Amino acid sequence: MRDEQRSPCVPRGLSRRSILRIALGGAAAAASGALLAACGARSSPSAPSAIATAPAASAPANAASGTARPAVNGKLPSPAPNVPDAYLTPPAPFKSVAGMPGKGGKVSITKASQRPPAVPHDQNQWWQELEKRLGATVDFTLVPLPQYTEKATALIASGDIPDLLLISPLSVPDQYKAVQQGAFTDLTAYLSGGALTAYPNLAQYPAASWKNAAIRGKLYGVPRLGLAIGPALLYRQDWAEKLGNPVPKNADDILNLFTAMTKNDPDGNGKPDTWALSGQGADWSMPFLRGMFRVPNGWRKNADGTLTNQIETDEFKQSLVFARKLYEAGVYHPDAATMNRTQATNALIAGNIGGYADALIQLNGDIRMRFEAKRVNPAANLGALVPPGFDGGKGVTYTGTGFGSIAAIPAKDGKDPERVKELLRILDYFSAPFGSEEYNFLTFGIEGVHHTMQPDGTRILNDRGRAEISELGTVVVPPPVFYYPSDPGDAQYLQTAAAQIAALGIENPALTAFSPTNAAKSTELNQLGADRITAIITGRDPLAALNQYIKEWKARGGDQIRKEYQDALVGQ
Amino acid sequence: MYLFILPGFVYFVVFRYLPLLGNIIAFQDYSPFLGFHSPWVGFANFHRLFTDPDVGIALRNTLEISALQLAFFFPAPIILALLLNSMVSEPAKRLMQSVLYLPHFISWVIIIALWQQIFGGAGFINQFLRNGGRHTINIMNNPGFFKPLVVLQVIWKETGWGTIIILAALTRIDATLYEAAAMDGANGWRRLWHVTLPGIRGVIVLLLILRLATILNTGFEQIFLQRNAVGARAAEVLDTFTYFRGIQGGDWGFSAAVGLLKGGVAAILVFAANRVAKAFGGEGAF
Repeated sequence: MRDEQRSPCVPRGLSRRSILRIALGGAAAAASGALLAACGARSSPSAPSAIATAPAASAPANAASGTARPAVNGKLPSPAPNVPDAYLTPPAPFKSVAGMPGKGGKVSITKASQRPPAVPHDQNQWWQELEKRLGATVDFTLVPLPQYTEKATALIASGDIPDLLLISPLSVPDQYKAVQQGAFTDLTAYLSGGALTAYPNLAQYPAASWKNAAIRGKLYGVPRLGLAIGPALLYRQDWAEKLGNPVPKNADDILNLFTAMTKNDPDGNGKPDTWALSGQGADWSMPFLRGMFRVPNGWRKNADGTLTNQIETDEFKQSLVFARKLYEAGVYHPDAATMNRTQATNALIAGNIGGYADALIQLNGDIRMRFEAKRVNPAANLGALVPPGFDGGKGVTYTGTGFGSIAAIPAKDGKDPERVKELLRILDYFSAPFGSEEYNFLTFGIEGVHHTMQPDGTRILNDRGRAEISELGTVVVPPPVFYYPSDPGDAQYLQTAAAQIAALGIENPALTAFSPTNAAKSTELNQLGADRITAIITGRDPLAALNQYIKEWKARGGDQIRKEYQDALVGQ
Repeated sequence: MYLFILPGFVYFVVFRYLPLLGNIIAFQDYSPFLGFHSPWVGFANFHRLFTDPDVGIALRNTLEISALQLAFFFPAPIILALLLNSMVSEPAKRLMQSVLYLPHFISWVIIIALWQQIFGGAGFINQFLRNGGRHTINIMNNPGFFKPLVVLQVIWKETGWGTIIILAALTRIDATLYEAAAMDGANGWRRLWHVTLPGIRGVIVLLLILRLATILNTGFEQIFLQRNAVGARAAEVLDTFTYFRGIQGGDWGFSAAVGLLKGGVAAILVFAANRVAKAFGGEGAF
């Protein structure tokens, strides 16, 4: 089961934000308040009010080093690229959108959702207020995430594509084909260079996210931003501490910790009913294990410009040998091969397993894992473990693209440039940065109706707010921040963990290159890989079967993909 | 008079025959956005049927599971119906029937979860063994057990439901035949052999022919849910294959070609079985 949330979150170089920071730091004048003004408000002349309302001069100098700093006005600024800002208390609200985005017409939007559906339009005060603020009648369709890809494909096939449709053309072959066949508007001219300044909130996106979202150099949508940092092992930190092995430093430490989690009854109920490790979608938590052996992220670029796929490397083989060893030691949950993400999450919350590899945000995202685990067992403390190097050195993590899907505009709307601009202004509204008036409305609704305001400026969403807003406010989202008013401490914890993950991040050299063969064959080759690797880890196949797998992979498209990437990279 | 035929006729034309035209996508590099205007590729998709190694694996698994089902699942409802039919107490028989029908209405998701709870690696049996410090046995994740397990699950779920038609056929047998046979000194086994089985032979042959028509359909959900546990080489069948290639992989034309292949094989089997049935003096299905 692959859901779009899992598509490798992006790794990527310097964000626009960090470039800004470096520029400001170099001038030795960077103040985090000023930074907030620069990020959160716009440098664009189209929104002068934003600059005026941002607290520009109140904060002390921002140290350029990556060390943890005390919160300034409730804000913990990002210590490194790809690490979000964290907030303990929100900044004073400021306006991020000038003027009315819509022109009074209709806008239909289809997106995925993981929560119960929103209250219908007629009884939904938030929805009606949104339409007033957008200046457009909005027709939302929310589709449950597991069915989303099929629903989106069906919509494209019907020819009646909504004005804004969230698609993942880089991972769904059908959607890639549709994009190439002209189903969606080419937005490159609207979203590059000076044209982007017409959308001040979109202009705040990390430059890398635009680069990564492009398909053969063209932009077909606005990326829905996420964390670019790679996955880590989400694990029971309290178990590791109890077993006297809180920070494993090499492969032996990891093996000992996992064995102890399995055999030494970490939950203390006297029954052998715990396992150290599981996986999601038969991945065997390999993203973590590969990190220990410093397996390249996707591809390795050699000195002569050729590419080596990760499965062809010695490091990959070593990681597989280690996974086999873990399997033989019995540390994998017996159902590890069949668990999907939800099941692995629940097993970790329930204390059946000690850990599995997943995105950091899962600790306090759509499912508040840290909170839920404490509810099951007050002693439970879920944390994120970065891969230690197998030899005691440093491991690696896989930086991703920094977005999940893109909000695309169908070709029929593209005939009228004014209509395209209107739709982009609406996306700009949905991208209002954390702390802005627009963000507060999209996230918390109207004060006194959907949320209550605490004296310190914290807004607490009520049941009505949850039911009416549901996931309507997140068509696209601003650059992520960590802010958890109901789980004090989590913002700081997650930012520290994110910094640890980011520090080990390596990039996929072929990330921005495009291969048509990969677009057509990736599902088939991923299936092949999952099957062969599972067979080797579980001992159904000998280790030597890896060579056979590599041969098959090459013959069934691997070599062709390599060639296309290599050619594409020469051109870059 | 003919007006009465109209609703059925319209139904078949609209929902059965018109969609047949959709098979044209087996000859195209189909894209949902372009629809039937997708590029024409002739027999390229069919050529791939014979060169793609995964098709061979899926076809072999499908045939193996079908053969096991034919050998073990097909006779099961007949035997169960005969047993039910021999029950004397009418209320007990009715209660028994209702209980036996029930599993048919339970979804595969729940049945697989039940089996997992009992036979799975963390299930009841293995947890019992583990608590006693004994070796565990790998049932659900064992590729060697997969096919018999799938057939056992089908038998558990569908046997009761399958008895309905057989029981109906059994009531059609003239009771005087049994009396006559008993008068002639035939014991129970003789009566079964000479009266009961010939009486339901027509229905059994009909069911067999219908079963052959769907022999390449092993069912999707049941296999899909357990496929990852044992790997694609043991568990990929044509139904899951077309899902992964067509719907997930966007290779619609190729998947449609696989579907056509299935249809072709089924048609041949049905005609052949009908011939054989007639050759042995039966009525056949048509």
